[in-house]
Amino acid sequence: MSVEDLRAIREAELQAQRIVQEAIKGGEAAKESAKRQAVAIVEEWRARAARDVQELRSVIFGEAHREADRVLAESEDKARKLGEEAVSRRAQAIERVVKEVLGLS
Amino acid sequence: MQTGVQRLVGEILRSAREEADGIVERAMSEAQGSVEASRREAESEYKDVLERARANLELERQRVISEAVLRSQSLLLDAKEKLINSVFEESLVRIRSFTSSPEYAEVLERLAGEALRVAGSSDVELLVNEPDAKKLSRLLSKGAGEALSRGLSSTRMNVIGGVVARSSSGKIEVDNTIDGRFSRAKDALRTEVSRILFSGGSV
Repeated sequence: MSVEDLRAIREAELQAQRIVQEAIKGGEAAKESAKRQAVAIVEEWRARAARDVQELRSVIFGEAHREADRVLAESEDKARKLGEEAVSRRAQAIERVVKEVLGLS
Repeated sequence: MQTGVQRLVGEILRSAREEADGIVERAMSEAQGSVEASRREAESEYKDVLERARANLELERQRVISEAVLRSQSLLLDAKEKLINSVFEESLVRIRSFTSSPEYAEVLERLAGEALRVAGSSDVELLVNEPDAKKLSRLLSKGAGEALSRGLSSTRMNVIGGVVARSSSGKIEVDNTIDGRFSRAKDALRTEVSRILFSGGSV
């Protein structure tokens, strides 16, 4: 084998090493990129969760407070009607108490 | 025609490229798997977070509504309580006013008679307030019931009206004062007053 042949083989081996090294570097870069992508995905889902929870809270609390307000308004209305309706019967109740206390019943 | 060396060089480079392709392929596959795993994990975490939040918010929703229901029940009870109390307050005003009327003497005589009858003993004195003492004295002077001829105590009570019949030993005491009767009526008639006020109501 001539010197030129040996040099050609040596050159080929060096190039082969470079090819493999490039591939390793490329692989590592892909893995790093994947890691960054994974972090971004997790952050994106977490942000989405925070947003959706906030939205859910707003919807559910809104409903709950509307329902609570409705219940209270209803009972305030009932209390008002109660007072109005009791007016006509108040005299009867007072008479009953007065008679009982004075021993007139 | 390739020489042996050229074939060897070609083989070295082909082998290197094959190895490089394998390395890149494995790295890409690993990276893709890692991204997919992270995506699945993040999605699962998202679902858990939302599920927990939904459960907590449901409890909060129920708490808010329950509090409103309790507040509304309390509001209605307070309204009823105020109306019932106003009946007793107004009743007392009318009773006070009635004790100044001429018709009250008859009531006082009956209250005294009842108290003496319940006390039973002959050794009983009657305690009254100052205006009623005068009324009872007038009744006695007009020859009112035998029962009233029993002793009218010189002690005066601070009451709206009515009498207390007390044995001289102090062991028997019958409270037939307006105040005592009113206090007892407040307990006894509360349900009845409530029924009169609210029975036919639409609420």
